[in-house]
Amino acid sequence: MNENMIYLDNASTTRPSEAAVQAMLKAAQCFGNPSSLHGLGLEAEKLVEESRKAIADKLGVESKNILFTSGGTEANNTAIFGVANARHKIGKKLVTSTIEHPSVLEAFRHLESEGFTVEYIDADRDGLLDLDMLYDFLDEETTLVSIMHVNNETGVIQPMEKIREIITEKAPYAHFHTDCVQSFGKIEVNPKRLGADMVTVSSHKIHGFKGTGALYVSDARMLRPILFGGEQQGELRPGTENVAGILAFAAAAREAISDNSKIISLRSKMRERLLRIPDTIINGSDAHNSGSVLNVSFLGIKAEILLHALEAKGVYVSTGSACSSHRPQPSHVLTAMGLDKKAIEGAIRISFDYTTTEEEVMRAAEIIEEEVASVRRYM
Amino acid sequence: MKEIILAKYGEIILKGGNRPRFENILLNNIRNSLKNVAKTSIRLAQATVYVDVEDEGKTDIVMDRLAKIFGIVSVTRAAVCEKNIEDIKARAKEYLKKDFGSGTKFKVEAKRSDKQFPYTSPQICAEVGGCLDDEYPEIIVDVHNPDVTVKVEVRDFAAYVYAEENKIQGQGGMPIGTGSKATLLLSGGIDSPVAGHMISKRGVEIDAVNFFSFPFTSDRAKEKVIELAGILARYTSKINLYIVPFTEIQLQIRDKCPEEHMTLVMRRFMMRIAERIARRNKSLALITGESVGQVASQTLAALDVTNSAVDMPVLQPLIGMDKIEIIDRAHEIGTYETSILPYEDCCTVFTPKHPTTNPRRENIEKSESRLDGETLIEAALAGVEKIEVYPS
Repeated sequence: MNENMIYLDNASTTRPSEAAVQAMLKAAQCFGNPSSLHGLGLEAEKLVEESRKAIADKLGVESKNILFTSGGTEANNTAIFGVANARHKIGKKLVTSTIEHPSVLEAFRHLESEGFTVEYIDADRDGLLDLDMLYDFLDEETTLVSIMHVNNETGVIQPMEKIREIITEKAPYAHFHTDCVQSFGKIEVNPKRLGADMVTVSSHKIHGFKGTGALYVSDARMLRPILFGGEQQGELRPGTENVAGILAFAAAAREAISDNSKIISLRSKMRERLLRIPDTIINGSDAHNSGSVLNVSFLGIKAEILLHALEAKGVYVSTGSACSSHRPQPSHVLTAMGLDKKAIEGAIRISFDYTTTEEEVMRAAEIIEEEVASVRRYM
Repeated sequence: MKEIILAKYGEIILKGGNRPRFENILLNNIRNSLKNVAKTSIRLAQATVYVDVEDEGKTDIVMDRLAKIFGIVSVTRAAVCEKNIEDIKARAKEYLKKDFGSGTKFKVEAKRSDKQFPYTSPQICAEVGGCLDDEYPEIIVDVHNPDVTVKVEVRDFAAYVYAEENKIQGQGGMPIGTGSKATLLLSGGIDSPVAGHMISKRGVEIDAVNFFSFPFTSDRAKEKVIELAGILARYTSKINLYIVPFTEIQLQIRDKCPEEHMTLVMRRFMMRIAERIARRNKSLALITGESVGQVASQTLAALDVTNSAVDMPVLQPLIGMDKIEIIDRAHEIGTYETSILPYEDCCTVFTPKHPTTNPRRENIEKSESRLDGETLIEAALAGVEKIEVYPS
C-alpha cells in the first residue's frame, strides 16, 4: 500500500477507522464470553448490548430489534429464508428485483428450486425499478418483498416510500426487506421512514471490520431462524457473538454520517471531469443517486485492463464485470439496465466516501483520463 | 515393534557405470525432500532405500513425500525382523493383524536375496503361511485371488514383512539432477505444468520462465504461476522462476505486425527470450506444452516457425497427446485446479480473430523485421524478476 494511493473503491470495502481499531483492542482485553455467568462474561455482554444500542440509535429503532450477524450476506439470507419459511402456509410468492446483490438473488433462486414462486422486477436504463411491474406482481399470497435501498454498482436510490405504499395496497401479508449495505453510513437509513420490516447493514462498508453485519427486524416472530444451536440473540441467531467485530461496528456506526452532500459534490465533479473524455457514458440516474458511486463506461476498452493500469498509478477502482477469457461474467446489474455489451465491458465503478477529498478526486480524474487514452491506443 | 520404510528404485539400476553416481543423487534428493519433514536415517542397499523415521507419527507424510520423488517406483512400510524364521513368524502375526478381517483371502510370497538363510523361499512361504493360518482361523489361503499378499523379504541385514496392498506407487522416472537442466515456458494454463513434470520425471532439473503483461494480466495471474511452480517443485525441489515483463513487446507487435501474424511473432519472441535465460543459467533445452493441432499456433507449420526462432532443442512432451489426456495428467500431478483459475490473460486484445494456420517462415520473419527485436529483448531481459519457488 503506498502513501499516495487514491482509494476510490469504498463500495467494496472501507479502511477501518481509528475508533474501530481501538474497539478491537478493547475486545482483546475484555475477552469473556457474553453468555458466561461470571463477571468477565457480564462485562462482555454489557459491551455487546451497548453496541447493539449504538446500531439501533443510528437506525432510529430499539435495541431489541437488532440481530448481529456475520455480515450482509448472512443478514440477507436470514431475512429471506426466515420469512419465506415461516410464512409458506400463507403463500409461496416472493418478489425481488433483477439488480439485487448476489446474496439476495441467489437466496431467491434457491427458494425457487424449493417450490417458491419468485418474481423479478426489471430496472430501466437509469437503474430505477419498474414500479408498475411491482404493482402487477403483488397479491395476497405474496409474503416477502426484498428490494435494495441503494444499488452497489450504480449508487441509484430506489423510492422506498412509494414501494412501501404499493406493498401496503396490494400485498397486505407481505413483509418488506431492504438491503441497506450500500446506503447505511452514506445517507439516512431509518427503517420506519423507509417503511421496511427488515433492514440489512454491514460493518466493513462504514469503516468497521469484515465479518460483522446486522439485521433490523421489526418483529422477530416473522422469522424462522436459519442457524440452530444456542440461546444467543433470542435463538434467532445462535452462536457466540463476535464481540470484537460488534464493538468495532458500533464504534464505526457512531462516527458514520448520513449527510451525503459532500459525496454528491465529489461525484458530480468526477462526473463532469470524466465526461470530457470522448466516448464516455455515465450509467445510472444522477438525480436519484446517493453520491457514493459513479459508474462510468469508456467505450472500446476492457474495464479490467483499465483497472490494472490505474492500480499501477495508485488509483483503486473496481469493475462490474470480471474480464476473463474463460468465464466472461458481465455485470448482471448493467445487463438488467439494458446497456449494450461495449458499455458493460468498459464500465468501471468509482466509489466515494466522506473521507475522500476533492483533491484526490481531481487527481484521480486526470490519471483516469491519461490511462483511458493509453489503454485505448491498444484496443 | 520396529518399522521401516522401503523405497524401491527402478531404472537407475540399469545404468551400469553411472549407477553409483545416480544412486548418490537419488539419496541427496531424498534427504533434501525430507529435511524439513521429519528426522530420518537413510541408507541404500540392494536397489532399495531404507528410511527409518525417527519422529513418531511422521511415517505417512514421509511415505507421501517419497512417492513424489522421481526414480522411486514404490514405497511401502514394513516390519523389521531378525533373520530367523521364528522372529519372522512372530512379527508377521503381530504386524499383519490390522490387515486381516473375517474371510480375508491371503497368500505369502517370499524372496531370499541372502542365500545363506537356511530356508528356501517356498519353505518360508509355507512356514509363515501356516503360522498365520493357525493364528487367524477366520482367514483363508487363496494363492490366485488374494485380498492380502504377505511379502517376506530376507535381505542382507534383516528380514522384512509387509502387506503388498499397502504399497504405494512411486513416480518412477529418473532422479532429478541425473539429466542436466532445461527451461520450461510456464504459462498459467493446463498444459505447460504437465510438460514440465514429464521432462523433470526423466531426471532433468527445471527452470521456469513466465511472460507477464501488466496491466493486461493482473498480479493474481502472476500469483497463480508462482503457485503452479510451487506444485511442480513438490516433485523437483526448488524451481527458479523468471518473470519477464512482456507488455512493451506485445504492444509493439500489435502496432506494427499484421494481425494474423501476431501470435506467432509473439511466440518467437518468447522463445528467444527463454533461450537467452536458459543459456545464462546453463540450461540445455527449452520445454513447451504444445500438442499438435490444439490451437492455430500449434499446427506443424506454426510449430516450425516458432521453433526455428531458437538454436536449442525444444522439448514438447505433450506433442501427441489429446487435451483430455493432458487434463488427466494435470489432475494426477495436482496442477489442474490451479490452472483453471480464471486469472489468465484477460484479454483477447492480443489474440487475432483469424490467426494464420499455415504460416511460412519468410512471411513471419518479414513481419518481425518491422520491430527492433534486439532492443526489445534486451529491455525485457533487463526487467526480469527472479523468484525462487519452493515446494508448496
